Amino acid sequence: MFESLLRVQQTFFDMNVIGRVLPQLFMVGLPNTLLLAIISSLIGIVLGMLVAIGLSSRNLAVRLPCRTYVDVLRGLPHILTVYIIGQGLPIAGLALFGRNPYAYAAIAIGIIEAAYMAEIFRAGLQSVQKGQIEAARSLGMSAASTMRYIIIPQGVRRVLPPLTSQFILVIKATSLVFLLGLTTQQRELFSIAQDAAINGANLSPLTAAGLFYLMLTVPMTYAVNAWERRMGLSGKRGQADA
Amino acid sequence: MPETSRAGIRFKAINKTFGTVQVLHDITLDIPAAATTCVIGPSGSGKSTLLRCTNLLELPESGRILVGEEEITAPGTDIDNLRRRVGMVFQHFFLFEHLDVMGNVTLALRKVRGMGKDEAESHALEKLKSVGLGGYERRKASELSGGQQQRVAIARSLAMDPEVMLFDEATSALDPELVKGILDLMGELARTGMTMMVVTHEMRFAREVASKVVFMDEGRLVEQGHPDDIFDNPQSPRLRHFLDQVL
Amino acid sequence: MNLRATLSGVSVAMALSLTPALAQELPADAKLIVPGQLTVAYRTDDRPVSFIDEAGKPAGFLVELETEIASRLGLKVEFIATDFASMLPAVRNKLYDTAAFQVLVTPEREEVVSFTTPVGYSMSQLVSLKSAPIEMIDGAVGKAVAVTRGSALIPMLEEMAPGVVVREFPNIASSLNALLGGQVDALFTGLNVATDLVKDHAELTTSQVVATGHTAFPVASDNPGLKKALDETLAAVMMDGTFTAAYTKWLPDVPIPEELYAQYPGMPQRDPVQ
Repeated sequence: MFESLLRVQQTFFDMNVIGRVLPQLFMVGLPNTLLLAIISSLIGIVLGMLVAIGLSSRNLAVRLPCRTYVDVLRGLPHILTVYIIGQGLPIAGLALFGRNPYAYAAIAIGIIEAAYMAEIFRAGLQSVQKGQIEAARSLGMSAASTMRYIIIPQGVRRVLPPLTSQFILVIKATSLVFLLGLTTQQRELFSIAQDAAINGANLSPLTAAGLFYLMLTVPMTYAVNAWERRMGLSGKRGQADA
Repeated sequence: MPETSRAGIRFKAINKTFGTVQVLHDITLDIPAAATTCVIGPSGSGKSTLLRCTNLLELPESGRILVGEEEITAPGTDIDNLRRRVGMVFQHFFLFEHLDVMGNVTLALRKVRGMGKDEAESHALEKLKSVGLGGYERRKASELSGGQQQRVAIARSLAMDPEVMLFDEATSALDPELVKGILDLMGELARTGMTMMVVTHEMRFAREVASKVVFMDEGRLVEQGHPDDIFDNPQSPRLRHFLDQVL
Repeated sequence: MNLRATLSGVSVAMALSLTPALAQELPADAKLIVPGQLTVAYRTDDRPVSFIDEAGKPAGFLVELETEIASRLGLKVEFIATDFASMLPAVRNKLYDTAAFQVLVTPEREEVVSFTTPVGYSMSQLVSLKSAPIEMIDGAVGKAVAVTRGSALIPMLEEMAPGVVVREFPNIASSLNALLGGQVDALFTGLNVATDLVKDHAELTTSQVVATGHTAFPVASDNPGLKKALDETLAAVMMDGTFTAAYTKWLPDVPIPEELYAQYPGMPQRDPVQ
């Protein structure tokens, strides 16, 4: 039994191997992963919110394309979407971002995440008390103003937990950029670990990368929870819910 | 301070259907300007629906409504603009939970009337004081009692300086000991000469404050008149039956 | 699952028809994960060397070779699909006896597992567009070249063409797309793959061929008995022409490297490639 534990340690926790790959993970992988995660998330949030508003529209001509968008991008394998954007476009003669794999990846991951976030935001928007919406309209606020100052601020705060989960998924989805071909200096956390694992025939680099991912996702979760508490949202709601 | 003009409301042959159920049958009614009109009747009589037609939260299938001189049921009506003139207070208050009291009252001032921050806040403070909530600006809805929340709601609507105020069972969701406070406030407002259309179950308030009482039953306007006539001398059997039950 | 793999192993062996199986002896100290069976890791996506056919069975040049070797040692054979990255640690950790992979032998890898005598010599080429061809390896200097990730070809290319910008792709299909879409100037891959690509895509052309090391089968380092058995059987398979026949069948357009003939002197040579 001790022997098998030793083999586990050699395969996943070989400190020499981890030590050799740490500098690359920290200096190259971490910034690349972080940058791609942030840009993709921003695209996902903005586009996701627009689509969420579209999903709540009473106009079928607006709602239907949004619905289709969400269904298709959530349903297709993410790898396929990345290939379509990152390789399909150049092959079709539309090399919009030259040879930069991160730009294509950011768009691809961004539009994928937007589809998931649209559903999350939609649930949030629709959970806002209808009475408050009527009260706002009764004061003369336009539909757009009501959306902007009443519905969105409350709707977003209500869905912070599933949004956080989605951000964690974005951080890990950044590994998809490897599909589009990276130079050594372009590698993000996962591809650095994969390369080291293959070349050294040892999985310890993946453990090291895993730790870096945790370094990103865990503090983010705590930060969002702290912000949620500061907004006084985990407290009780007003009596008007009766 | 400039006097806001007060408008009256005129309903002409209003019909409204929800799905297959007709909730308003051919309602023709005048709500006089600068006076308080109370609408009473059993549940399901269509009182709230009629009220909500006044600021177009509900759209009648046929008929015309005039607020002051404006025919609001005409096509091309600027609905948002209409609602600046017509204020509404709801049974469940519906304060904006993510904003504090000051934020609730100033939001429409800033986004609809375009006031700057300082002007909006001073105007809001004036209204809050007039409902007895000076000093409560930074509180959140969840920290207030039902009565206090309703006062904020009233201040919020009054801040827009409307020509008409609509009250949709404004005290029905309040604990009994808080009801009187709100009714007193509404009475004060009535005495300033505001046009008020009040859907209510509070008969004493109707008798003491209203200059006109309207009785509705099953979507029809059954009887209307001066409070003394309605309460002391009901003509229709249905009104008599209703009064027997509630008084 | 066991029975199916065994049946497929047997049917592949029967299809080999030609050479009569010459029995090899399995040393007493050779360890097998499943007694009486050679457990072999293989890839499902490396046509024509190791892949899964339309009927869902393991097939390919090295699959056939491993089947023949097992049969000569009097063993059944079972093929288990796996990916490249985890395969060598898995051999060390006794999940497989060996693998039907083209594993390039590097000093780093020899720290993890042992290898048999050479099974192949890696020959590689650049593939580029006819409209912007690269003919010599050093023509890759300063250009963007696609290579499959983790490939040991990467340091070799960087040595042969210093200043080349290598972009690692997950597989050959995405490297090809990148070349066709103008995202890279060339791709660098093994000779057999390069030949296939140029056959299928008229707009591609190849460069000079360069030698890039040798490949062999992996064996756990603490299993010298099995390594010896595999080496001896391999030598026999080379010398009696079984290897040459199989090679010609699976890789008709690819010549057998001179280095391999030199490694096994006297082994029958194949007909020259057109």
